[in-house]
Amino acid sequence: MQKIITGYQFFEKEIATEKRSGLVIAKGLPRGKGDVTIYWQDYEEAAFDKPTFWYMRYDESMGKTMGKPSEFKVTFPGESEEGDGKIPPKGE
Amino acid sequence: MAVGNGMGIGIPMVNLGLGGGGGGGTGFLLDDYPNTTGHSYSLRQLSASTTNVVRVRRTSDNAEQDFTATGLTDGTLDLFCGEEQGYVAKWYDQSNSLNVYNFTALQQPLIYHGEEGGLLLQNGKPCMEFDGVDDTLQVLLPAPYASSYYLFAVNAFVGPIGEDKYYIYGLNDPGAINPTQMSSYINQTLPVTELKLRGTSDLVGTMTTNPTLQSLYYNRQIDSPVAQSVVNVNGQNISSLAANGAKDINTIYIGSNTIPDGHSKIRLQEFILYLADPASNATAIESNINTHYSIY
Repeated sequence: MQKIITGYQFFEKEIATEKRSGLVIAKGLPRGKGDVTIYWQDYEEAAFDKPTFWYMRYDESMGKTMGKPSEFKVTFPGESEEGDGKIPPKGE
Repeated sequence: MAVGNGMGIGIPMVNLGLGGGGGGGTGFLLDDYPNTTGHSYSLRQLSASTTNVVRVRRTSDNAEQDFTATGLTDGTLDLFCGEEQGYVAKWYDQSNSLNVYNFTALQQPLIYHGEEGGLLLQNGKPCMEFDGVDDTLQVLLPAPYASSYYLFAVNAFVGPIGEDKYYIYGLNDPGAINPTQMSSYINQTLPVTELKLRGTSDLVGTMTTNPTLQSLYYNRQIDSPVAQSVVNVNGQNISSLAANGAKDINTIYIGSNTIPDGHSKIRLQEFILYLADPASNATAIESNINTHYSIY
C-alpha cells in the first residue's frame, strides 16, 4: 500500500540525521539534563521502497529550518487500500 | 535520557483508600491486584508507593516536569503549562519501571491545551490524546516475550470512526510485519462497530457500545492449557477465538499498531498489561477500573 506523505525526503541516511540535528539545534533541545525529549522531529525509513529512502513528516514548526515540504509516496505494509491514501500533515 | 521510575522508595505507607476503590480491597488497584511481572500505565495513582505518573513537556520552552496524579488536577500542571500546550514525554510504569516514552517532540501525545480548557478530560478524568498521525509512546522489552498476557485499557476513539482501523496499541513481533494489535472500525457492510485483534489471524467482535465513548477493554491472550484470545468491552465478552497466532513480542507501542502508518486518534487513560494470569481477579480489576472511571 502506498500513501502520499507531505514532508522531506532524503536519499542518504546521513543527510536525514544532519537535518534532524538541525531541528534539534533550532529548537534548543534537550532543554534540561535528563530530559526525555531529544528530537523535534525524527526521520523514518521507507524500507519497503527501492531504493530505500528516509523522510520526515511535515509540521508547520519545521518550515523555517527545513524549507518548503514536498509530497512523495511511501510504501507501507498496511492492510487497507481504502481512502485517498493521503496522510495529512500534523495539525490539519 | 531520564531514568526516573515513578516509584516510591519503599517507605511503608498507610493506605487511605484514595485510589478509586472497587472490588472491596484497600483501594489502589495494584495493591489489591499486584502486577509484579507486568507493566502498568495510568493517569491515576495505582499503588500507594507510586509517586509520579507522567512527565510533561510544555511548548513554551520545551521544559519538562514530572507530575503525580494529584498534580495533574490540583493546579500544578496548570501552573507549569499556563496558556501553552503540554505533551506527554514519558508515561511511568507503576509496576516495573519500564516506562513508555517518545524522544521526539512532535510525536508525543497531548495532555494539556492551555487555550482550550487546560487538562484534557474524558468523562471527567485526565486523558492523553494521540493525534492519529505519528504520536506514540513506546518501549522495548528487556527480552522478547512469548507467553500469555492480559491487557486492561481505558480508551475512547476520537470520532468519527471510519472504515480504516483505529488502534489502541500494538505489541510488536520481532519481524515487525504482523503485530498483535487492538483496533476498532465500522465494517463496510454492517452498520456495526467491530473490534479487531490481530496476530496472524483476526478476532472480530461486535461492540454494542459506541467506541468513541470512554470504554474499558480487556484482552486476554492465553497460551495454555488451550490457546485462546478473548476480548471484553465494558465487562461484556464480545469475542473469543480458539487461537490467534503468534504472540511473540519485543516492543510495546501505544497509539499505534507498530506499523509506520498505523496511528490512531485516541484518548487513553489507562493501559495495564499483566503478564501473569489475574485469574478470577480479572472481574474485580474490571470493577475497580469501572468504579474509578464510571464507564458503565
